[in-house]
Amino acid sequence: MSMQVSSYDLIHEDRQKGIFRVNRQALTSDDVLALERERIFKRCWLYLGHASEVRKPGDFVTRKVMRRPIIFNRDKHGELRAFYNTCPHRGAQVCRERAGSAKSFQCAYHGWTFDNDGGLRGVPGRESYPKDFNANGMYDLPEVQRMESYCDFVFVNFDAGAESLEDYLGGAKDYLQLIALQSKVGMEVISGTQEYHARANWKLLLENSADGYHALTTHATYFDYLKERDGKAAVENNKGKSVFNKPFGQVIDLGNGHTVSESDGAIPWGRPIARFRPGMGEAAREAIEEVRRQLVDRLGEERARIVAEKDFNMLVFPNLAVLNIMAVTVRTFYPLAPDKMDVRAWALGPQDEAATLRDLRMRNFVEFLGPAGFATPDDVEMLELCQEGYQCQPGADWNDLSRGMLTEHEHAAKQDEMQMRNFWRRWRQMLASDDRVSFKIAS
Amino acid sequence: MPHAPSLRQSDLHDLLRAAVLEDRSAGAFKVHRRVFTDDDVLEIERRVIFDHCWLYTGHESEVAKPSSFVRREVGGRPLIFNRDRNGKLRVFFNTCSHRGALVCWERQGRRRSFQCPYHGWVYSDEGKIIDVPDKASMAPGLVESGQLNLAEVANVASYRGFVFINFDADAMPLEDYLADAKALLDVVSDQGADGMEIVGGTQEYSVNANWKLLQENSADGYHAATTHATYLDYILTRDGASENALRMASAGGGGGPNRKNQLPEGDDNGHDNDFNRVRDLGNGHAVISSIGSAPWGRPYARWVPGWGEEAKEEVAKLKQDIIDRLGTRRGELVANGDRNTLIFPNLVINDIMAITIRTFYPERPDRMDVNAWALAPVGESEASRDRRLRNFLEFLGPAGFASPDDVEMLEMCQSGYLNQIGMEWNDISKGMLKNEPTNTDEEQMRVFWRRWRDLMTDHVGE
Repeated sequence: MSMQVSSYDLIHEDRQKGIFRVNRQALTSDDVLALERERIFKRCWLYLGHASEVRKPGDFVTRKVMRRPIIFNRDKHGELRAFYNTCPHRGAQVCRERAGSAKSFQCAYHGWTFDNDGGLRGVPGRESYPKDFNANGMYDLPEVQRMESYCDFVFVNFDAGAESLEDYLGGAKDYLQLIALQSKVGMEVISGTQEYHARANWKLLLENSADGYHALTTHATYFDYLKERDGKAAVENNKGKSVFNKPFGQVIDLGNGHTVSESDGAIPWGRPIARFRPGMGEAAREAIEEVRRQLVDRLGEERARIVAEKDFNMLVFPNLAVLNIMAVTVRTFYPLAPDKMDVRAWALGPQDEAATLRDLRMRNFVEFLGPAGFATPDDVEMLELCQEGYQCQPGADWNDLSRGMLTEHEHAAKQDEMQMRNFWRRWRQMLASDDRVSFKIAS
Repeated sequence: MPHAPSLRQSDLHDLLRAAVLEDRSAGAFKVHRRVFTDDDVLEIERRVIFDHCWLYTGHESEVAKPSSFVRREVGGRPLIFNRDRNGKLRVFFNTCSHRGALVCWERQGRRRSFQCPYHGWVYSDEGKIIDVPDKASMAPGLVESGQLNLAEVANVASYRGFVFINFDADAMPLEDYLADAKALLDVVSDQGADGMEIVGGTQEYSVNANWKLLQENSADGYHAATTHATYLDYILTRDGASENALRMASAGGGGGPNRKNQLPEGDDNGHDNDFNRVRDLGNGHAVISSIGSAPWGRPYARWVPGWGEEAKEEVAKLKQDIIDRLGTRRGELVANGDRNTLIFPNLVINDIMAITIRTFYPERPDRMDVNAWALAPVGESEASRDRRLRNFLEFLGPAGFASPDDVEMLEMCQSGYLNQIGMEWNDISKGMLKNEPTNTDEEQMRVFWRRWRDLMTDHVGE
């Protein structure tokens, strides 16, 4: 039924010839997914939310991270907390609302109540329990093993012994800072969540979220639209070729499987912080230029230019994409099955953003990467077509991710595939980690 | 582990060895119901049956012109079935060698090349990669090496226009595999003086039942009187109480032996007499057949009152043409014979009131996808084609008189298999002690199951 292989057998890498191939079992096998849950999702730092979502004491949101229902809140002392949303009595979720403010949570089943710092406060029929019931806190709301934040990005880790978030993030920290610097007073999640499914393996969306190679074909409709709206100059160089036609920008390995694909000012769309493009409308010009002046005052010319002009798609291993392009999209996704994932995305914006710019931002947020935008439906279609193609196993068994491999040490362009290789190398290493136990895949 | 626990390997092997119980002297034949419900059994079926048997992919007439193609799913795999620019029939895995997206997402058409929509890689209709956007960034020689060409199915072969594939490069030749089933494909194909063609359009539906139940059902003469009572009532009302209709509608599904020896003395060696009964065609293939004893009309060529007097003359002429072309004996067989042919593992050719080619694939143990097409003589008159298509829909169509009732029965069976703690076996012994089982016996199913058992147990222990 199966053969024993290690994750190293699933990736064929030949640095001399510049060949990098991934066996499609990595995208279809139940056993691979089971191992990913154990070795990746239970050990890596996973994005939970943004501190701005629980700004005041008592604020909470409920969220699932890798199928685990979690309450993310700020307790009465002002501390960020992450609790497992399950009653220590018989397990029901103690909070059934998506978001709100609560001093306490009451389990709907038998009525046990918990303070918003997790402490057990009330037990109906208390007299039937021992006097020292919960003296050791074992009936308090269970807390997620680890929760840490960086620049207001809050992560959890289900492994109590995990390295610190900052060590884990490595070079990704610099880019989270670049986002935080967009506002003097701080960034905020703009309320509302994009939620959708795709019938494709979760790793395909990771690959796709920083793929500069597919833009011209998959997103042809969007570029046609930009050309129509903003004029040829917006999307083509003086030779009439698309700006995506030739390699540009750069891809940088940030360590621990994280990668960023970035460019400075080379991309046709505008940025509310702070790059004006005609499609944004003349009315926005003044507001954007004002934001740019304030950035220069606060950060100096060079730093301001980077914050305003640098577009980047950052992949934080394993399943967070921070897409700082025409808006800031924070996107995370979880496998439901080898061929199905759940996607969640949020918009980040400056807390002090002017109404006109907020409006522009929200239009940008939905226009391209929104679930009904110009890009995401096309992307989902492609990923689902890929997943369907993986039915051809055995017969057609390998994906190719070789693009630009021979030059990746000198320079990797956005259209190359170094960002995917970087992910897969880390994936390979983590699945095979420690005891190097091999796992089963269907032959 | 998140998925359902598997049977222990040794339990699975024990199950497979004991799944088909046959006692020839007692006339007992039983099939264990786990073979319809178990995920592990399906996984082995995929590996030892679907990856090694010849599977029907399409008919040559569907890709008549150079560079014409149709998309197909065979054995769960998305494929492109085409004729390349040089006229060669080919079957490709429909998946880009880059990241795997389908490179062809139209159902059919004519294309000299296929472009993957994701990153724009282009393949010729011969499967060669001919364009990679920004090729300069690829490793030198990689594109030219052939390594990135569209993957092609190992084995493609056709017989009388029926195109089959085999995912096993070392499989036996198609003609050996088809064994005596070739003669049935001959009979079907001989109906058209100028060849046969698929009439455009595919019947597609899904059934919440194990795929093997449809193979059993597609040549089951026993269930007609009960499952298809509505159809027989309709025929009796429309065409009158013919002897054939009354016999089929009688209890026991027509009971008595098929009318035999209806073929005139002829010019062949008598071999065709074999068609007049249940016949084991080798390699798990089987046929049930009869001559002139079914109640429905055949466009080529047996008239029934329901077609109206005006059709009588043309149908008679069509039959005469066949007899003139093939001789009295062969002509009678081709024109007036009805036969349901089962080609192992999942192809049914029902040459009855029309010609239905039906194939189906497991999606899960309790669910299958069915595809069916109408085959017809090239050059058929409009009136005759009209009669054929009405017949094609009337009985075996997904909304016809038969298929919905059949689907209902198969789904009820599948639901019944949830009772495995109390009732574990299906009985398939009808007519086993007879010297010559009839169409209403179950020998044709036993032929299938014996082959299934041999293949599934041969591989045990691998």
